[in-house]
Amino acid sequence: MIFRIFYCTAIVLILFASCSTDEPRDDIERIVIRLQQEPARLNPILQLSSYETDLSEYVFISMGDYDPVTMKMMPVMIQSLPTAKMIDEGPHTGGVSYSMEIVPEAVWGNGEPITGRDVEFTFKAVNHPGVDTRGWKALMNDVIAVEQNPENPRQFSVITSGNYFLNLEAILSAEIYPSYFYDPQGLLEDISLSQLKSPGFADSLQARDAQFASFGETFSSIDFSKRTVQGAGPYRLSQWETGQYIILEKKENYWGDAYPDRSYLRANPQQIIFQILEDDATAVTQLKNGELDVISLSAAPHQVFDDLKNDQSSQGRYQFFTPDVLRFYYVAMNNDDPRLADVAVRKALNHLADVNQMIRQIEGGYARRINSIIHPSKQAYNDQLPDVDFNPQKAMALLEEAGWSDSNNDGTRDKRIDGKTYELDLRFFITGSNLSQSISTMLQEEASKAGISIDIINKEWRNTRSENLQTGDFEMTTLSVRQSPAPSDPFVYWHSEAIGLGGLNYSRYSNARADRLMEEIRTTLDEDRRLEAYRELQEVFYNDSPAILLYAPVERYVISSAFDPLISSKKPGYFANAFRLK
Amino acid sequence: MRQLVLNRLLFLVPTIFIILCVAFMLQQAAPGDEVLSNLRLDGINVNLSQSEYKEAYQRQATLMNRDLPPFYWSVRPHYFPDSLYRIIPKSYRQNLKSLTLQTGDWQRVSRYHETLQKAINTGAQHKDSLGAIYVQLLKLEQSSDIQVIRNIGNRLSNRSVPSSTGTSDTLGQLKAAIDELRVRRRWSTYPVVSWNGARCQFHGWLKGLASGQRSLVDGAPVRMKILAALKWTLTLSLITLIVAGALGLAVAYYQTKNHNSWSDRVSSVIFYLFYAVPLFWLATMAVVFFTTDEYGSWTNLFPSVGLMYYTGEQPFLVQLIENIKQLILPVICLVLHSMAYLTRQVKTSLLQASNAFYTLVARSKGLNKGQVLRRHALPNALLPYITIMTAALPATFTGSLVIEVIFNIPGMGKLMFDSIRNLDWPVTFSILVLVGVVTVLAYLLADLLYVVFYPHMTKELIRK
Amino acid sequence: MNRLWKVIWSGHSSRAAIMFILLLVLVGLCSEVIAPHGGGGLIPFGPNEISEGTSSFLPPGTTEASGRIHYLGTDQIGRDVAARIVHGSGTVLQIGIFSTLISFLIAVLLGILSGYFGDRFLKVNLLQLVAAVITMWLGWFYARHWSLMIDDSGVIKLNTWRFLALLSAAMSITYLVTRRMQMTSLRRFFVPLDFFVLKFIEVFKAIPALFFILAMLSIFSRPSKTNVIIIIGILGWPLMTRLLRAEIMNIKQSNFVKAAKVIGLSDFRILMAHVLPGALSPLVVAFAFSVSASILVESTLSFLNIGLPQNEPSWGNVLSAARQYLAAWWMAVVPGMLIFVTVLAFNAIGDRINGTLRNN
Repeated sequence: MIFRIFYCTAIVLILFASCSTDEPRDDIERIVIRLQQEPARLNPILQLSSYETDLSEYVFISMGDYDPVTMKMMPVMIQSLPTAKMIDEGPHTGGVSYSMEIVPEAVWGNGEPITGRDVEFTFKAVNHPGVDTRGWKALMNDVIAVEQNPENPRQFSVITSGNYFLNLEAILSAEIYPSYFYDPQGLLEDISLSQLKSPGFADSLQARDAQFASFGETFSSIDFSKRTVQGAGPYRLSQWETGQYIILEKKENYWGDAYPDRSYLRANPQQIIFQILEDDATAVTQLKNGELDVISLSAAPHQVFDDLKNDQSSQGRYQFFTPDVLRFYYVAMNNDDPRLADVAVRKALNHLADVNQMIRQIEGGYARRINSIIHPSKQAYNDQLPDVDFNPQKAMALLEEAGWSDSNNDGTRDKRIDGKTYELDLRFFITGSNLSQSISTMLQEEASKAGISIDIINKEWRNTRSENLQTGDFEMTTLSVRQSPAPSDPFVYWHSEAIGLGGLNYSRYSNARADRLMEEIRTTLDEDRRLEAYRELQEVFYNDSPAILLYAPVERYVISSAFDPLISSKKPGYFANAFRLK
Repeated sequence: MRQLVLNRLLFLVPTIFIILCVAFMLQQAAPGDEVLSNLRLDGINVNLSQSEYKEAYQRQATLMNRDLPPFYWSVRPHYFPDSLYRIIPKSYRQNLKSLTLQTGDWQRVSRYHETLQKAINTGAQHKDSLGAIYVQLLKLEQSSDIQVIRNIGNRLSNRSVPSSTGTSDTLGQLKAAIDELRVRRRWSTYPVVSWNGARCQFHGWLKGLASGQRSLVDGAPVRMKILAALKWTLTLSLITLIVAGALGLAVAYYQTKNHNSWSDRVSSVIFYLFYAVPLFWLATMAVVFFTTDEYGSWTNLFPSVGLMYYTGEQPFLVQLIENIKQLILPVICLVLHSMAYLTRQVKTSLLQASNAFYTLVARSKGLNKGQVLRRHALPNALLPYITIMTAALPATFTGSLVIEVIFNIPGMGKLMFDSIRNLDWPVTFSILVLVGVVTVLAYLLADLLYVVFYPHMTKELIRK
Repeated sequence: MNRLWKVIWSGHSSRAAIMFILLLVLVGLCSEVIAPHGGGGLIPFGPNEISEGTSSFLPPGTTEASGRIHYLGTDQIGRDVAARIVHGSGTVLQIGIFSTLISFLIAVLLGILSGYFGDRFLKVNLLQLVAAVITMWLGWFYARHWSLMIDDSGVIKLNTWRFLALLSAAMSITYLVTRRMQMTSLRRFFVPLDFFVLKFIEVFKAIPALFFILAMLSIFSRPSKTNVIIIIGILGWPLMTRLLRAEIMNIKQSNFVKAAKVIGLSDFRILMAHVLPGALSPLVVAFAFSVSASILVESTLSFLNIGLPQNEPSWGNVLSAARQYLAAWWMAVVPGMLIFVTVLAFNAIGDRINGTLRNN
């Protein structure tokens, strides 16, 4: 019986081997983009994952945004970028005012002009207690009022209280909502932003005024998330089939055509179709079938990308792009752990991570090393810092020197600290992703040779975050950071006040000098002094080695040859609305 | 017959209730803090102060009922307070629990907790002058290791705090409270039961289930999400069930008729082959080889996976007919994978029946093998067939996750998988109730079919 | 047992199957010799060793710079597939056999309760019932309280073994307490054990397996080999219990059990000497099928990314990693074939015994 089975499988295997052919494509009315995960919502101030923003930037636009090529802030919906003006009289004394004017052509779907009222409405929606937007709320913390110009409804000034260096960025990059559509009953109309921001006001109103409270519910409802979505962008949501696809349709007579040089207002393809395909193998098969125009292969092994690139049959069908999208990886260490509190151990682990091998093995060379917590393409990056060399001997010497030796002969180094013996066995929390599996396994192999045993724990990222990172019950984990083109604010990730439940300083890094520098970065308005502070911070950081910095990968995109794409460092790495036909 | 139906339906409510209790217990037993998970802060540069963060946490906890006791009643050792659940965040509650267990003295622990809260609140106002001490206070809040707490306490007294800030009093009190904490484990205790009544998390969930909740992920009504997934899963699995059921019976009949022949063996081997390859691999191979031209145009038999965007705003039935070709390949995979088990079971009972005395009698009356099988063996061999087919019914509602992932079908398997992983409990609990009801009804259906086909079993069935 | 072995050995396919399984066991036992973790065995690489240079997805037969050969190529991060497969064979057998043993143990316990003792065995009065419930509840409370431990960093942990031991002690106390309460004045009634077991199975079957797996995983908070074994084991018991219950009920009707009862043998003796041996063959059949099913479940868990971690090599995780890069056929064909043949082998043995049983 067994032998017959072998025979059968042999037939099946032979069946599966054959040659390949090519197939021409002719439909150019649409661009089909693969989405790996279905967005939960198309409502920018509620949505948080990058899958969602990849989609929403075609439907919603903000007052300003980063130029796809130069990565400088540029106006989108407004005439020109505002300048900060200190206020020295009136109720907002000590604050900063930014005056702006929306372009006269800008109109909503119903033909009404976009005005300062819509801007204020957006900021009010962000601050409504029933709208679940903690992220935006925090970013908009300093925005205290919007002053309308009574003569020109398109002119207004936004007033901020402090001089936090990212305030203008936050104001400009907020997606603007049409108030007539999202608040048809005018529930928020009679309340001004400054009222809403006054302490206790919103919460008490939420408790006693059912109408006011109902705004939050309606705003977060499914209708405003997936069905009737309205923004000022060049596309509108045409169809959303759960788990299948999302179709964006070009708006007729779009006002943005008057500004041909603003990329965010381009609307070249008639339709942009987001095909939701979770499974990589299925997605690659579809790509080969010619059903997809744009696909990111960053999560798949680099061989998939390389094979397509080198494959004869796909020559001429696809173009290959590797934009740098401001992302990098590092291994976070818990600096509060008595073992990892020892800088020698952290440095030793740094010497045990063979980053060059990781880049070769995992990314196939599509990455570059980093030595600091700021993406290398940013101006603030300190490029004077040398690479940490892969050097197990040095690592072992460091450990010996610091008193870590295998005194009980169990294969793992140990040391007595404060009367307690600590073994160098560290838990490494990873997500199921191939990347974290590979990084942890490679580190584990090298560390075990140096007498550090690493226990790899595969766990859902969400759970790791709430059970281990936020409570400090971990030793190591891989983290991926995606930075925006705005100057980085290391405070939230590395300041000692950001340790604990609310903060993102999972590494529990705490250094008085670094704290001071981070505070300076946040508040200084002098560009040069800030750059200087960034540089010094990176040096302090380099010497402390609170994390194992790995590398900044590039995205691997395959795009159909039919198009002349607009590639950018801004995520997701391309501007589908600005693609042109070849 | 009526007795039978009544019996089954009577057990419907307790069954569902037990399932919900089990699900609730599993969910409670999971470590980690769901409120924290639902605060969804990753990916954004947030800049919240501790107090703002605690407010946000409090709001989210109230929203999720997490500031209520879990169940209708709670049991605790006598030296524990009855209001521990009021302390949030969860990690702080765990710390206090651990401290109470270690010291056996809730009075002192709660005094420590209160002075610590006070110290942090006053400390937040004088952050600049306190400097590193404030960070130490935050650290205290997160620790349940008495040694660590003592060390920090000692450091508090050594530091000179500027008296002008008015914090030195509070810090002094905190130091005193820390010094009072002593490790003394209490082994002897007695249980105390407190009744929480309807103000509990479980009751809140039950109410939510009854009134129709919204998904925590996208705000869509749960019913809508489940119906959207169910239409795909039901279509796929009912087609599979019918095809597999019919084919399984036919093949088993054919195999029994030609028992031990060449064709019997080869077909068994082929079905085994499809059973013994993991389903995900079978499906992957099917997608890779039969939906592309890559291996020759003759293998491109089926449409590409997940290409359903040409449907437009048509009614479901039209969409279904349009998309039915999408379902061919997944149906084939599922049917092939289940054939080995199905045919084996039916064939075994068919063989048994054909060797039984009555069939031999029938045979001796001069009926040929096929006639005997059809008229005598088949009716008697239906029992396992009914069991298998009705047992597969609940699975038609849960769907096949593997197939749904590979063929990109937004069905129930994926919905359940995603809901559980996203901690979207309204959706998860509703699915559990749905599947529970369907399971009980499937048992009822099985019983009814038994009664129809085997009237002599009625009595025994009612007893159960 | 001897007879069973003869049955297996006498069939062509089952003999091949048992030889194949024994070979797997051998490879599993000697995996540390064949491909030691430090490298340098028959297969010159360790299962988690990453080769030098750019070594991911190397095809079979590639020679490394140091002259060592990857007989079956390398995987996505440059580990030797052959070494992983050798170590995986042990893992797969452990998962298959131990998880089946867990369902088996539960099934034997419940099967005897419902099949042998049934609805008309345990007779209690109200007082006994109340006393039993109270003692068990107290037992549960104290077992829990006394096995709560505080670890180094002040976190509360439940000592599972101590908990289980205390719980069984509580059970014995419950038994001793209730035994003395057989008052004649109180009406006694039967506890329908069979009914309870059947309802228990029904309720358990009404919980979707996927939910159960994910919930258990989040409780264990990591998918290690032991945890995967426990989860698969718990999933399998209802089927096994039903089967065993039916078998025991059949045997209970047989004349020799009736005779044993008449001559006054204790229930324990009858169970051990007659009932369980009588149910052995069908159990071995169920065992074989269950092992093969567990192996398939393990690979599916790997596919869903909730199976064994990458540093614990198993066929399932090599096979599911192959989906990342379909051109790496060696990662698909070898573990795929092995899973396939192993599943078939266990089924062939099950079929063989089943076939002989039916003919007798």
